[in-house]
Amino acid sequence: MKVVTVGTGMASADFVQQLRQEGFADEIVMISDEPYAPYSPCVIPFYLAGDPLESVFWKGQDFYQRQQVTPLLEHRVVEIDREQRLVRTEQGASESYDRLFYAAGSRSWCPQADWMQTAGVFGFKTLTDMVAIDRYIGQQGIQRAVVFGGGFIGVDAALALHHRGIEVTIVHRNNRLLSQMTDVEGGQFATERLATKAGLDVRLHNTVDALTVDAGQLRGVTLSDGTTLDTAMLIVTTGVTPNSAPLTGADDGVTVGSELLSEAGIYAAGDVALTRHLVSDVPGLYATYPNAQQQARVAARHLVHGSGHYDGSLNTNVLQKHIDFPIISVGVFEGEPVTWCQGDLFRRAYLQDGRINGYILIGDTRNAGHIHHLYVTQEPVDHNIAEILADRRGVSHYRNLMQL
Amino acid sequence: MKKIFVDYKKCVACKGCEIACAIQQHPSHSLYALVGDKKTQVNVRVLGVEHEAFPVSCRHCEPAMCLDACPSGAISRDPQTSAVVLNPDICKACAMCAMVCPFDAVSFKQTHRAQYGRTVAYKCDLCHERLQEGLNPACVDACHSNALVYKESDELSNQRAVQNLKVYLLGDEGEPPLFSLYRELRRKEFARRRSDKS
Amino acid sequence: MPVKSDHRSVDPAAIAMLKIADQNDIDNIWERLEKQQPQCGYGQLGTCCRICTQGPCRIDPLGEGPTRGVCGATADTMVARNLARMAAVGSSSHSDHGRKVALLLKAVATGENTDYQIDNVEKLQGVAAKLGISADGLTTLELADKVADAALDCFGSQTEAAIQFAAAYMPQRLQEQLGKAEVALKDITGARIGLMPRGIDREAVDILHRTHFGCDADPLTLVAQTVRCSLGDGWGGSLIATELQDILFGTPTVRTIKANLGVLDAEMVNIIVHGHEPILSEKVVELARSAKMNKAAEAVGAKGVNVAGLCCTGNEILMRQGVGVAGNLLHSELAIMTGAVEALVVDVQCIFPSLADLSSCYHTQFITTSEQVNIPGAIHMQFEEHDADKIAEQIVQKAIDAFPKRNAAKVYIPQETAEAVVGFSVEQILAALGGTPGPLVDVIANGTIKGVVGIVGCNNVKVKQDLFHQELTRELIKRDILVIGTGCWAIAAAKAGLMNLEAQELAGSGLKAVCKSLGIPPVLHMGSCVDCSRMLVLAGAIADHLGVDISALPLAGSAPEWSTEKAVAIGSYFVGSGLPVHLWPAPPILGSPAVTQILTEGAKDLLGGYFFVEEDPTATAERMLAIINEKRAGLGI
Repeated sequence: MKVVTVGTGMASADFVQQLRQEGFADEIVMISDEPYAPYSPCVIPFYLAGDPLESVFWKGQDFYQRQQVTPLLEHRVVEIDREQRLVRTEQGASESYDRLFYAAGSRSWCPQADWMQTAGVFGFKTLTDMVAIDRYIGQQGIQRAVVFGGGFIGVDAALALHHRGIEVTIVHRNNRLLSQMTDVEGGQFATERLATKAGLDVRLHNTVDALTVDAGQLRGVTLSDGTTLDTAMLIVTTGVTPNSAPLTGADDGVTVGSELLSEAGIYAAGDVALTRHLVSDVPGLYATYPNAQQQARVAARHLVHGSGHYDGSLNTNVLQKHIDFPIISVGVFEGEPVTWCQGDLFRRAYLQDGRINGYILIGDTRNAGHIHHLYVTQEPVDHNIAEILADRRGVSHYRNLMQL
Repeated sequence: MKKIFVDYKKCVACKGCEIACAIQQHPSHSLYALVGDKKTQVNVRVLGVEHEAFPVSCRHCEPAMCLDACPSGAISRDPQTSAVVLNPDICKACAMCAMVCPFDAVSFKQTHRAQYGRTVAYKCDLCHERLQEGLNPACVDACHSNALVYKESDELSNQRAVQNLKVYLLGDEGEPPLFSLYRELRRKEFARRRSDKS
Repeated sequence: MPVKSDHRSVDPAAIAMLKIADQNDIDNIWERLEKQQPQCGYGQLGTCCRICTQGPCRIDPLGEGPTRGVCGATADTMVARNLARMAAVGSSSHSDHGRKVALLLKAVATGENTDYQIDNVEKLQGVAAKLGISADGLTTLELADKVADAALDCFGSQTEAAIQFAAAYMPQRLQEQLGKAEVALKDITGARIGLMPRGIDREAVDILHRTHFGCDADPLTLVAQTVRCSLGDGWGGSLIATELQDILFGTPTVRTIKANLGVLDAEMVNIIVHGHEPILSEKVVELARSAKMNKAAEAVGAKGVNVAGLCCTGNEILMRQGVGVAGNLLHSELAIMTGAVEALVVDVQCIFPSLADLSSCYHTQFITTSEQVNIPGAIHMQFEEHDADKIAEQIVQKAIDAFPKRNAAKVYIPQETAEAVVGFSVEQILAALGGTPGPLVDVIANGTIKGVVGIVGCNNVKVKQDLFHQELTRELIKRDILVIGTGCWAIAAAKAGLMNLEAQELAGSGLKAVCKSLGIPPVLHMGSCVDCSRMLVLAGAIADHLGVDISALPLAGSAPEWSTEKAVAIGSYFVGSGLPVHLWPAPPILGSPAVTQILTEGAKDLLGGYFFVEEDPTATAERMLAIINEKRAGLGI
């Protein structure tokens, strides 16, 4: 039986590793439009910040060799031919498969597609992006940059560039950074610290409306409030689009069942997979690594043993890279908020029927695991959530277990 | 597989385990060198919960949530000792591990092992290098009152251990009467101090 | 501000201040206790020895580890040595305070110091008479000189004889009983073991010597020396402090004062005097009441200068000058948090080093004055007795200068205050009884009053502030037991209104009737913690009146929220004087079965007094009633 993975990202790498662990000995081909061994998107911003390139290859640079995989690199998959069980690439290759693992990931979405053709404008999603940005910074001697889009990836990008010594302005439409992973108060608490402690120049209620371009080279940007900023580098992090069109005809994700099958013989996982939420059951694109890993494992076991069940995804986010105040966000911010805030610590949980519906923790990770556990298990917490949030020493988990 | 167990009733809260751990983890292996050194790493913490006190640290869970959550490949399991080990060279301190660890066993700072001059995650490594030399974990050897023991753990209790702390906290019975009195007085002291009534 | 309960204190003013501390994240002792958790059990059990550099050694209480230190010391030896050192430090603190008073009396007597005078000639004559010093043909100053010499000799005496003050003040029967105990100890150990103190300094130094590496390892002899050193405090250093202070500043008389943070006045320059000695604070009060200083205060927009006390300095000046008391030990940080304190002037003992940092968040001038108390961040204004007026004036002026810097937005003074009738020196109690202990003995004998319990101070942050003090006091008076006491307990009782005449209603019918007829509250404030000596003297007077041992009397002592080494000394001299003494929290002795046995049981046979530990106030009161009833039965009353 021959297995082909579309994508060499985290889901595909974990899938292949799990297949081999489960004893799968047949042929595996992994296809990617990039030239690299599997790398970790969570880690790649550190390459920009100065870490060596090797460290992004989280399962080793010799992954393909070690797992006895045939890589088909720098090939972009454009078509899945179900009749003939063939994967066709833009570069003209076609690869047959018995089972297909579709984990093509996602790509940066840009409000104006033509911007990306301008020298100095970059997405911030792939190692290819990072290498290009790194080279550009070196060549142009970049001192300042504008990041457009203040979501997780935008802040991640801004912090990495800032760490490299570049002056960064981050432009965001909303009234706070990280607006999707926070509520208003939590987001503003985080934004304040990102501006004061991390040193970012934050422009809220703003968008990049126009570029100043000279002979194909970016020279500056104009914001919606009329401000113009001189810059030769713009990072666009206004959103991502799943690369699902080759499989489904549209870039809006691939619906999968609990066995991670989108149809007979084809598994989908990672950033393209539309899965159900573990707690809320709401289907969505839950593009985080722990979800991708679980999906990959379930799919691999299912492929080998014919059985397996994916419990569901979580929407968890944690941002701590380059800053000393982790920002943790999980679930949805609906229900009754319970807040504890002191100094540089902000903790808030939203309760529904006495159970945690979502939470934001800023400043430390002391209770994060305990609260995560209470969220996942949906234990009733209305009687003690205030005490748990106010626990600065990390005793509440033990207090609970020892019934003290 | 052997694991570290805590007999919490025997813990005297002397924090000898914390010191022994710090010495073991410090490049100098010297108490005097680690004093005042901000990079000193301590992987065990004696936690007071009301009148009870006991050392808490990584449980080396199987499966380990932190290991599964790590997106940089920095956390792995040592095949010989089953220890969950963190490689600081490739850790990016993203906190994905800490976010899911219910035991609060992962901390962050710039340790002596941190590369690139920034924060990394650090946690108990079960002293797996000492184990390979036939020694006990440093904290276990440091414990005078035998509250920390390194002993065989069966498969079943391993599984339960992930969910239930009490498998680790033994609370074996039998102690000298004056020590029982001491524990009882402590319990009363805390109970009275905590009560909002009267 | 509505009073809500709080796990840290029962005092409504403290609760209000703690709310402010919480809101503003102000560091305080309760926070620091939390941050110290868990605290080391070896220390709590007394089995950590740091005496030589071959250690530190620890004996774990479970018998799992080594049972001897490097030198071979057992848990019993370690605990006994550590306890003895606590008593040496505690005795030294009280006694060194006494020494300063004796030196001042000497300087006044010789004319070297003219800033102070002898206030109470009658007391001087009384003390001299007790010491067997004839006043015939002597001027007041000449007599004072002789009394001062007698007192100073108690510190430095190098003979084997008992110090003069102890020999003069201690009831004869107690001296005999201690003599018998010495013989009994010799029979047990073969060693010559004294209990009567030979020299106040010497007994402390003896402990320092005895507990040096490789000396005394026997818990029994170590405990015996602990008692001897402590008796040198109770019947020596502390007694000298009390008696000579009465000579210099006046014997306390009954008066009514206000207690709690509400004694601070938002419109005045507030000076808090804190610590233990009256020598400086008497002067601060005198200067603050002067027209000159009040004028200076008015010049900066204040209505005048207001002095308030804290802890035992507070007790000293409330007993003699009727100055209001802002609170006990755990109020010291809270007082600064009112934002209305211009100067916190401290002398010695029980001064949190944290006060410097806390004061720097306000306009408060934190002024240290003793060469023995230097705190980084504080302003040190060295106090010299011979220049007292000038230095006190400079201190008051410093407070006045700070007044314009007060931030009105930070000022909050909780208004909860209580009135308290205070000033019960032994002389005042006897005066109220008509000159002799007879009437008190009579009401005890006929059962109207069951007995007397003396409670002493400290707050301990591990105990909810004042809870044990208040509840134990209430439970005792309810059981017709007269409560007397000193120190931070006394301030707790005052704040709770238990020293009010209205508190008579809380007493059992017998005690209530007696208090009504005498016009006194059922709870008597006898002064600062060195004034525990007053309780010894009173107990001695009752015993002598009846011609029995102190240990036969229906009396008991308690230190229910104790925290310091001084309390170890007090407890030990109470026990050494024949009194059963309650303690909470438990002292650091439970690591040693031998020491625990000696202190809780063995001492009873040897000395008449003994320790017991109890955490519940009502149970403590019950236990005390049982003890009192046992003693009553022994006396056949």
